[in-house]
Amino acid sequence: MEDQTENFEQLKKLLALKKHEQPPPGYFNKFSGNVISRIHAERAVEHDPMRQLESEAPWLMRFWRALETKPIFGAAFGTAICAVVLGGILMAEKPAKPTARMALPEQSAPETGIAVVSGNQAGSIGQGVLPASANEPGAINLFNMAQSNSQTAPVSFQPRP
Amino acid sequence: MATPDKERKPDAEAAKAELALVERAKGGDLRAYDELVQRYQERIYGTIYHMTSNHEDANDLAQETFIKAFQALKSFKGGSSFYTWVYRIAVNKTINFLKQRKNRQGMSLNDLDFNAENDPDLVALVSHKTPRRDAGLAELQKKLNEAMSKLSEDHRLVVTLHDVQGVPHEEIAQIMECNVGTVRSRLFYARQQLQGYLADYIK
Repeated sequence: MEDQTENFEQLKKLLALKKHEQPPPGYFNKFSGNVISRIHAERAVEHDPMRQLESEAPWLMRFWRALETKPIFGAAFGTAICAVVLGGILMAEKPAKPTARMALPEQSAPETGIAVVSGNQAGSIGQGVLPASANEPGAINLFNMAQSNSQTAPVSFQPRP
Repeated sequence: MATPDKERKPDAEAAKAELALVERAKGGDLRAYDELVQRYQERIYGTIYHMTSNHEDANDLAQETFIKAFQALKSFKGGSSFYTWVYRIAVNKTINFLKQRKNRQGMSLNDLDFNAENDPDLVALVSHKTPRRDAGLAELQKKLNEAMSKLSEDHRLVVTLHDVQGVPHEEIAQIMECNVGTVRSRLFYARQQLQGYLADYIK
């Protein structure tokens, strides 16, 4: 046991040699500066919008790279976009078809284009379309009155003498 | 490279000052963090260097340790000292690195400083007591590092921390997240193994 302890003492002396292994002179003067520079660089990378996009939507970046590397994908994608835009323009130029609600009325007043409905239908439609106050008797009368007196006198803009 | 325990155990005031630096660094103050790096760079580099026996690897790993520590600073709750916490990061990084590097055995040793030639223990060891009287310090350094690299990572770490850097058992236990008894037994077996590898130099 004593020998063993003695040998460990010798070993410890030998291990002390490692304390003398030193990095090149001035190494530690630059070390912290290098660490701080790398932290700055990593922060800059974190704030780079392309990098942010890459981390948040990697599929978009993969798609973009595919467009960049394979021109045929780019051409196909461009064609698809053009087709969608042209389709949209053509759809917008077509006259709008009458909707189902407009086709429902039994009769229409030729002068005004306002649909005339019977009393029961007026009640049922009024529940859905007209405000609640329009379903009251007074309101219906007013509504019908407007129908019957559909001919209105034009407003004169002539200045009074 | 080793630091006496008196310096390592900061008093309450120093601990308070360090905590203040940590809090400033948490807020993104890089000057405060620079100061923290300067405080511990030599010890962290030294541990990694003695574990890897390679200056370039030690340089990279030490820098990465401090960068990772800065990024993870918000998770530092102050349960242990900042020094122990950074040490733990360095040790984990180094052990992972060594596991990956198993097949590549390249040493890039630092030069011995001027004091090595004047160290009476070493001079005696080299010149008089060993059967290899012709062994120079450089050869001894190489053999020592080769022997160290034959140890397992855990054994190498305890020898490095205790026998090379002078870290007490209790602190090693904190760094390695094990109990003091485990540290002592690992140290014993590591020394025994080293003794076997270096028999020619320590008889």
